[in-house]
Amino acid sequence: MTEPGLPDTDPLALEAEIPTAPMTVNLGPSHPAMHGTVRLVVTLDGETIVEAIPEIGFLHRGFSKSSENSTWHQVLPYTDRLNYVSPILNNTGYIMGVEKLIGLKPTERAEYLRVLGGEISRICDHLTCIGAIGLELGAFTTFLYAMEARELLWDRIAELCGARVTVSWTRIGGVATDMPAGWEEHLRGCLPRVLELTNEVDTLLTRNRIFVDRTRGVGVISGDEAIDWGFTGPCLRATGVNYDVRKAHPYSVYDRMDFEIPLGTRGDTYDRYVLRLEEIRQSHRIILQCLDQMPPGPIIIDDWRYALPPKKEVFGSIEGVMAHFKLIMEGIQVPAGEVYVYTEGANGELGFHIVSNGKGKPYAIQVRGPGFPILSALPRLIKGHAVADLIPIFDSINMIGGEVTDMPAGWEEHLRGCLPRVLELTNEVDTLLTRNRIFVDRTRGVGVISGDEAIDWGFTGPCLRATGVNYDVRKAHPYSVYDRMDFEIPLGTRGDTYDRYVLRLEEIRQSHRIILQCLDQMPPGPIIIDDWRYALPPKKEVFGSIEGVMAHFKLIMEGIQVPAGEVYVYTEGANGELGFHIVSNGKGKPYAIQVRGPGFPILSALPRLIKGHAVADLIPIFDSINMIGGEVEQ
Amino acid sequence: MSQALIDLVREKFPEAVVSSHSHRGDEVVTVKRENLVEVIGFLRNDPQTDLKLLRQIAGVDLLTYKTEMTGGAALASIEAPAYEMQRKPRVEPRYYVSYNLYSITKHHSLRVRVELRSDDVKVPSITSLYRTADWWERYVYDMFGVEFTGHPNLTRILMYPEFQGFPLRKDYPVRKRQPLVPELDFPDLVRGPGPGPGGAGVPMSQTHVGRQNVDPSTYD
Repeated sequence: MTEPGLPDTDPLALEAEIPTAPMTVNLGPSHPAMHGTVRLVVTLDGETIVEAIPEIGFLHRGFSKSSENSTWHQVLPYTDRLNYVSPILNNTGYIMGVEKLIGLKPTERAEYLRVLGGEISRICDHLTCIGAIGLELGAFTTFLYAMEARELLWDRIAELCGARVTVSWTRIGGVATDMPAGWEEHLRGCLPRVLELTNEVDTLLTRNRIFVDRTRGVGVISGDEAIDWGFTGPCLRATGVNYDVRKAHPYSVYDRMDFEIPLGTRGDTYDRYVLRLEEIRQSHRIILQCLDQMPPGPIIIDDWRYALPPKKEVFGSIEGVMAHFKLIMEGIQVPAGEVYVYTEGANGELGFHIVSNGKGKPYAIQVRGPGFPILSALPRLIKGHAVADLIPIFDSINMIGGEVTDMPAGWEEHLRGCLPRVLELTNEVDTLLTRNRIFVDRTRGVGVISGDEAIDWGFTGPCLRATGVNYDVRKAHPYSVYDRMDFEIPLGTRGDTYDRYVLRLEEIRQSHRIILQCLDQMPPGPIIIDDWRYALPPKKEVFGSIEGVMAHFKLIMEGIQVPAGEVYVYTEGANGELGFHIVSNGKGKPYAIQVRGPGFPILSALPRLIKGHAVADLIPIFDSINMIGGEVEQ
Repeated sequence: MSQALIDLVREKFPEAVVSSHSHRGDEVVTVKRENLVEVIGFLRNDPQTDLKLLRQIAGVDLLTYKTEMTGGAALASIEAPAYEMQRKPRVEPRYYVSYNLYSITKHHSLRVRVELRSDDVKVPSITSLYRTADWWERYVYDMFGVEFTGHPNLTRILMYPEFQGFPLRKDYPVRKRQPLVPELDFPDLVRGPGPGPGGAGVPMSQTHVGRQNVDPSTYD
């Protein structure tokens, strides 16, 4: 073979075969798409994956060894960290193993609570998976929807267990806490929104051309082969094999639940995605049935050999204090034996192989994480695909995230519904920062300016009021309906960075009051004047009358005609007085217009504020004047 | 439930079965090592058993099964160094490996167990029967040092290659520490320009303090 020439001199150069060699690419362990630190050593021939070797162990924390050196109850927090997206399912799986060794049944209410918590966790897990697969194919929006839904549920879990992720919620013979007062209403209240968000993801992805092209027929595996590789859970059911532990070997109260097991047909990435969507809906059904069927009663058995006695007994009786002491110091005594207990985790069969020698701690524990055998098949799934297909396949196995329109129907309820959360989050910020020693030290007395000097520099808004000067356009010159609103103007005293921060916090609360008063006082009626010299006629008139069509034409083609004159109009913007200086010559466009962005004069004083301070103070001072570039630079 | 499976194995392989028991609904049959592949192959392929899903391979070290302390003493025993374990009476066979088989069509399961003496920690690999056996055998090798003969790539899976010992063996102390692993030689990577230690042309590994390896036995 002769050496190919240069393309511009040799016409055959472009036809010539280019000698290539396989290239090795490392993906991970620290790569945003390699969830949970996995390293993939991928051998590429051009874009095609020739070989892929997963390397795991970067997240190995010695679960078995730690558990074998803990009491039976101390293992529980370790199980939270196995699948940290659906920890309640792990808690339940492990505790069921211990109960199986003892031969113990938890109380009926506890069984329902476990199923309830487990299905909430399953939804969270699936939302994370389908959110991430969209995200990594470029659909960031779906990820945000999925995360919003997951956040709603994690808040419920936090209310139930006291923690979002590290829940450690189950106990031998029951669960740690019952549903708090009002929790059921919270849960029932947020579930429709969770489904709504799931449907948003569904409508954005499931029939999306790009998404379907990238996932259908990609990473295909047959049912028999999937079983051979040890697949369980959604990845197995996507191939059409009907195996779900909840149906095949119903545990807890799953036999009393009415739900379907969705099945795929192709075993590809697309099916694995769709199946998880549908499982979210089925889990939602189970949750509702749990709430309906849940009987009253104790949440943990009354057997002090296994469950801690109530505190009343611990402090009030010798038997109670002894049982407590023995349980804490020696742990429960589990009869000798070996069991394998398996439940349906979010990603497949979650098994615990537990050996007891009859002493106070597990003799041997090994966990069968559903992702372990599935990940081992990753090379098989991705071989021959393009390197860009790697990420969605990897995601799908989920190895371990209008101005002039009227208020839409229900919008007021949405707004009223979310405002308490907005205030709550504001309060979180408040409690985290306002009395925080570091924050106070970094902001109090930093960037101080007096009221007179601030006025001299042209300050308005929060930066001016932080100095104690009471000037707010909404009070001083009430426009719109501000005169009918009952609200306060918070004032600072020192004019420093800290005051500017506190003042904004308080203004959020005042704005919240105004929003509620607006909603209460708002009369029904048209949202725009019916004067066709200034406002577009309704579409019915445009298409139905000659006056309407003429008014529309003139407004669009010529614009409104504003009488000649010069005005300065000012309102209270978020950062101060927002003014427009407008000159009209009576024609269809403004003759001269200048904006007075509140940040413009404030920024001009920045050198005055920071001079003499440490360079580290520059940032908080700059933050506290809240300069908005678009406003200053117009 | 599936006592039938134990009976079937006993009937088909009367020579192979060492013992069997059923506890809390779990069926366990212990077979001789030389018959393992044959028995599991039968259980997988026979339409009557159809145990096509290998759920897990688990290992157990019985070294302290009888002697382990309980209560507060048990928790204190995590500090017991390896040499104290050496004085414990020998337990033989010390290890067993448990193959957890399941049938998705018949909904029954069976655990097949093989016992191993501490002077011969070897089992034939079943990677020819189940694809998923590959990683599970590597796992049991990594944690217990069980050698699966015939495995195509018997390397550590969770621990790193330089790790010494097998962490789930009962004589491996839970608090044992191991020295830092020196950086590997990357012939085409050099650290920093200029002369002096770690300067141009010096392979990364020769500049790393972790290179001064410490004798692992001093790290109890």
